[in-house]
This record gives sequence, structure tokens and C-alpha cells, in this order.
Amino acid sequence: MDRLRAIFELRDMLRQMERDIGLEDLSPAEKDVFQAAHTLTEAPGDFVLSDQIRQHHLARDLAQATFHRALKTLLDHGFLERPDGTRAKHYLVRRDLLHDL
Amino acid sequence: MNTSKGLVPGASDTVVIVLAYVLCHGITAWIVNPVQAYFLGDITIFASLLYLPHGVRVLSIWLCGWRALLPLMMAALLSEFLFTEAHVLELTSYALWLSVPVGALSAYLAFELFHLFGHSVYAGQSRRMDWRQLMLVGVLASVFNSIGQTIVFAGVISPGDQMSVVVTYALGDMIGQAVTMIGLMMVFRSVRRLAERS
Repeated sequence: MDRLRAIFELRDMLRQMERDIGLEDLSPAEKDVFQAAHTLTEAPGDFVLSDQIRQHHLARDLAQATFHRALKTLLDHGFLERPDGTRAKHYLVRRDLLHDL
Repeated sequence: MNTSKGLVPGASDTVVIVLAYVLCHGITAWIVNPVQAYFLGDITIFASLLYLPHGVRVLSIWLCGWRALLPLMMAALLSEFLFTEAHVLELTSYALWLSVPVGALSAYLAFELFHLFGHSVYAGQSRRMDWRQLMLVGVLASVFNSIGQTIVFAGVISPGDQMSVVVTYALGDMIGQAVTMIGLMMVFRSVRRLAERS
């Protein structure tokens, strides 16, 4: 077993442990917003608009402030990105992080 | 950790195992044991209620298999000479050469027992390792260790104290492993958060 694989396996196991003991990175609202953004992303690398996310059934019932706080947290944690050269309210989903939910 | 052929894992893996073990033993000896001695008395010279190196034993055997045995024994010996008080070392030195291998082998035996029953829990065996399985192997290893250590130190433990020493060894190893894994989990969590911010 190579060193890198061992570290990944250890990391995955401890990540699962973190979830199981309730030390989640994201709140339920943040998870819903990320899940909505992911669902709306048709192809890898496609942008999704904040209004589209807001209209998604997972995010529709969230209070406006909660929704925006969730978007900000997802940006801060790197789950969503706002790439250079794009207009405001455009977001890019980090698909590789979906398994971290 | 790599699987270099031979009796020991790669030099860097050996250093990591020895350093991690000695560090955990040091924390146990300098912080945990004095607190325990204050509340529970002299039982502390044989066993700690929070023995952090047990987590290092279990994780090392999980990652390196039998090749972790020698580094673990080297680390245990080094730790005894570094942290055990002279009068205790004098009292227990005759059994040290048995006590050290018993500690390392207990973890290996627990893994091998799982393997024997067709449920190998070594790293790289299944796509995703469940931390509960690793804890379970650690519990079994702590039972082996507590029985083994009590037999090894039978000459210096008064018969009336034997049961409490067995229980303290087993509990200390189990709690120690849990705390080590939670500590490691917090380290990985902090590293991930730092990486996310950068």
C-alpha cells in the first residue's frame, strides 16, 4: 500500500468519523443550497445563477438572509466558486467536493 | 506508509511511528498520569486510564501490518527509559522485555484474529474503512494487552489489585485510542479548513 493511498484512506475514515459524531462542516440549509446548485449544474464547469438556486425546491422555503448566509459560507468553504470574468450571482459548483457532504 | 519488504517499514515510517508513540507516551506520563495518581492513587504506576500510545499501536498495525511491530517495540522501550521514574523502572525492569512485546503484539493479534475469521481490517483491504471497525479491533487489542500485562507484572502487583489493574489497562487503552483518533480527526479537520481558506 503506497503512502498516499494510506493517507487518503485514513483521511476518509476520519472524515466519516467526523460526520458520525455530528461535527458537520455545513448546516442543513447550506447543504440544501449546495445540493440545489449541484442539481442545477447541467454539465461540469457550467455556471448556475443564484436566482435559479433560490427557485429550486430545496432552497425555496429558506429565509432570504439564511439563503445568502448559506451562499457566503459555501463560497468561504470553497464548495462554490465565483470565477474571474463572470458577472455577479454566477456560481460554479465544485463537483469534487460533493462527496464531502 | 509503504510496504517495503523486510522486517521494518521504510525509515520515514519507522521515524513517524516512533515519534508519534513517544509523543503520546510523554503526554500520558506528564499530564494524564499525575492527574490520575492524584485521584486514584498508586495503581497509576502500572496502568493509565488514558493511554494514548494504544491509538498509535492500532493505527500503525492497521497501516503497516506486522512490519510496524519492531518500530512499536523500539518506541515503547525508548518511552519507558525516557518517561518512567527510576524507582518504578527498577521495580519493573525485569518484566520490561516481556511487557514491551506484549503491548505491540496485542494489536497485531487482534488484527490477525479478524483476518482469521475472514474479515480483514488492514488498510487497503476494503474501499472504505469504517472507524468503528478500527475501534473494535482496538478494544480487542486492549483486552489482549490488559491480560498480557497483568500476567507479566504478576510478581509486582498485589493479588488484591490485579482486577483493578486489568480493568485500568483495558479501559486506558480503549479511551486512549478513542482520544488519539479524535485528536487526529481534529488535525485533519484543521488542515482541511486551512486548505479551504488558502
